[in-house]
Amino acid sequence: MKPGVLLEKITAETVGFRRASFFGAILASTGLGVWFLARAFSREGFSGLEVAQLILFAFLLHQIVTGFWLAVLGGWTQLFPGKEIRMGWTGPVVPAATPPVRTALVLPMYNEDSGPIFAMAETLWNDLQATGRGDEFDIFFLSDSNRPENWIAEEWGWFDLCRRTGGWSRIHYRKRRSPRHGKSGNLADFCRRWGAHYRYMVTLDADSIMTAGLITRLVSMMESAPRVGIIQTLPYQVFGRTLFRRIQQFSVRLYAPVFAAGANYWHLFAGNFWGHNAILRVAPFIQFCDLPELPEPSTDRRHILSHDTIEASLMRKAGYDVWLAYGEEGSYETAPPNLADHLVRERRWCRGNLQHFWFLFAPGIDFANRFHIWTGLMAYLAAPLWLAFLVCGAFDSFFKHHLSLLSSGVGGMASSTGRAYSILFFATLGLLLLPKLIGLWSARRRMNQMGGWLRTMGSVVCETLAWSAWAPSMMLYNSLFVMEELLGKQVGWAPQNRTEAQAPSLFFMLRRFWLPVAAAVLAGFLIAKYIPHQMGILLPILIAWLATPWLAWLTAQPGAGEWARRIGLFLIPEEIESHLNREIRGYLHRVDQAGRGSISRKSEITRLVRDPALNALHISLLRVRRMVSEKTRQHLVPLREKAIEKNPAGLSQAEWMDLLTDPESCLWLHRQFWKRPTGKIHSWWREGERPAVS
Amino acid sequence: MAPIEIPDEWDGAARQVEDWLRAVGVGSQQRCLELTLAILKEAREAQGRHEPTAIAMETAFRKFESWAKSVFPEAAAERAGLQALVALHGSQPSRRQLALVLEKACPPDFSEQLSKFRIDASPEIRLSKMTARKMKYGPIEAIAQETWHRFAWAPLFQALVIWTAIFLILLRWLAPKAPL
Repeated sequence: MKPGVLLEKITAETVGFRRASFFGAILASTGLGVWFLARAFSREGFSGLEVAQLILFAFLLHQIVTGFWLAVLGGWTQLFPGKEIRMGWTGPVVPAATPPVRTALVLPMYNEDSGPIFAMAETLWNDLQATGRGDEFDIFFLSDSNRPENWIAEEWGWFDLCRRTGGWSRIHYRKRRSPRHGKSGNLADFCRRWGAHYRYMVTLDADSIMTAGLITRLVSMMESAPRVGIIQTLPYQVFGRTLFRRIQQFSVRLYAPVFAAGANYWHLFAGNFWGHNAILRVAPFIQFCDLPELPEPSTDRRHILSHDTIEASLMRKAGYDVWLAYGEEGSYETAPPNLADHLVRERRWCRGNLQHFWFLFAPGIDFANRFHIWTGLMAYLAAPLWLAFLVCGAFDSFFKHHLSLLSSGVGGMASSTGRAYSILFFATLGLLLLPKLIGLWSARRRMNQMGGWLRTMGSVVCETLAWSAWAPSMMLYNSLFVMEELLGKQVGWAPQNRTEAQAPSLFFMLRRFWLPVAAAVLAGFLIAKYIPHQMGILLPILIAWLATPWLAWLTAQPGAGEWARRIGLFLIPEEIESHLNREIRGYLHRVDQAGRGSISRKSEITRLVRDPALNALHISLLRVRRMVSEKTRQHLVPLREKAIEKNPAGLSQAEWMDLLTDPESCLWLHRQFWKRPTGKIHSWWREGERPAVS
Repeated sequence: MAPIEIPDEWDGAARQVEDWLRAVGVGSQQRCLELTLAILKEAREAQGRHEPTAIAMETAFRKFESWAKSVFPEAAAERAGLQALVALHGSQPSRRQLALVLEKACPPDFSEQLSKFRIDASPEIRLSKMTARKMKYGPIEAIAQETWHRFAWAPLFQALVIWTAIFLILLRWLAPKAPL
């Protein structure tokens, strides 16, 4: 087969037809649902509460039908693969071009456990060399870490990686002293300094895994399609051990291909960028994609936290295409290990997505990108809207119930509204469940890779129950996040916890999830007192709220996940060896074997101060200071004394960073450590001592 | 061979020097012991009023730096020491070569291997201009700016306080004094 990019010629008619079908279906389905509810309400004229419910329902229903139609179109695409238009690569990978096309693999790091990152990079590096196209690629670790222990571990990790692979001038490490503008600032800094060396850049997250085969195919696709600015791959989740992660990775593996195919059906070349596991054309990215400031009054809220969607919009605005290469295998990531960590990520993403509101009406943004922005907004706004819808429904029910006791006519009206609610409830349920069936159907040929029909069906039932149990609490917390955001509460960009080593205790989960329990008690009391006839309908929500801490605790346990794996639930193809291509399996296995665990500040700093090679490496990587001001010296000298003799445990993170960014202080600490007899050095150092690195 | 006598107070210093040499990467146990004894001998001669561990380690640092200077003659002594340490660990010398660390005459092949070793944490910088283009956010921005720039909470709060006060005064004044 002749190798080449899969894209065929796309006519304006094709794009128009596809978009008209998709948005027409959404409008028609939403309109039908709203009309049906309005007809039920309109018998005795509309009350204010009914109008509010209708408006809320229109917003909520459109979100559900969007998902439904994405799944339907995805299923349709897979039913007629000949009509599929997608970004992909057919045939073998082409040999390296002469001169080689330069591509940077960039890995922003922020206080993450660097062990798995370097393990992934080493495997990727070795595999890239084995493809014969290794000369095209350089790796950049772009650190913004501000914890001394992470910084030290990263430096040694990088040094050790270069030592083992021999990639001294090709694998790079850069630490920013001031992590301005977070991840997007980190990438922009790379582009400004070294972007001109490269034609492409592959962005990876700390938990990203991409195979060498996929990366070389992506470069070939970019080379064949010069109008393309970004190709986003579809990362599947792997390495799940806790039940929470296993359920997520199973859901993504089963449904994501269908939803992605559906999304690609309508947006085609106007796709979205998710910030990682993607390849970007560097020159237009530098020229057009630096993030503008938001028109917020407070300076600390002007920076865009969630950069990816906006960068895709800016790339499209500049005339470049953005594709979702959903059919390409070899792209992976990991999920948060439990519900508590999932909500930490949701809090950050909520702020990021709500900031995108500004671009919704900005001139020059492509219609498709506006829809991506809108979808991202609705992912979080839907939560308070659902809550408001439930509260309005409860009030409405209360008034109608009381009126029905006074008048038989109004009673009839209440029962007709109740019937309409029942029909809409089941219709909504159908809209939510049908995509799952479509996902199952489209995975029919992969069933044996997921444990067979019976186990996959069992897994689907269990994951549906699990998501139904989590949904009410997620609604509550996302509503809270939106409210906090609207009230201007600050939120930092905290590093994501990805480790499953220590499962949180039940006590931790009870403290963390007191809000849904309190909401269940309060709502239960109010429902029992004022609308007891609605208790049956609302009881599942109350039970889900009450069960949240226990469910969160149970699903955070690796033991529960292991048990599910043993009985064949939530299996993914990557876990069943015989069905997977050897490259991916071997690759994932090697990365999974890398040590994971928390890094101790005491032991890392002791290692830096004790070990002559690490100390020398650290100083060599620091910027040489021509002159140290007297003020700085007066600040550093007492800190050094405190660190070596008086009270090292009392030094703050910022004080350690001050010491470790000063070459003179680092050398002084090393020498003092060795020059002092055991009794004359603080016991903190002896406690943190480990065998020297060699 | 006569046994070498080491006074008790130098025991700790000897352990410290030996540990440091091993951490530096000096090849064999025997070589470490030889170097330790040599360093201690030199340190005892120069002891003065200094604490034994401190003077022994000072001697070790100085000896290492002067050895490193012979490998990296263009660098200052302190910097040469750092470069040598990084090179010793990065260039992956053989056990035989590691046994030659702190030898008076570093063999040319080993010296060349160390001096050629460079760590380039990043490639040469080629600056690109990446600046955000001015973005217009459409009607929403205009509305928001008007709200932020024209709307102030203080007058609203003042008005609320004044009207609440007026309302309470009127309520008290107009309320019937006697029960109806």
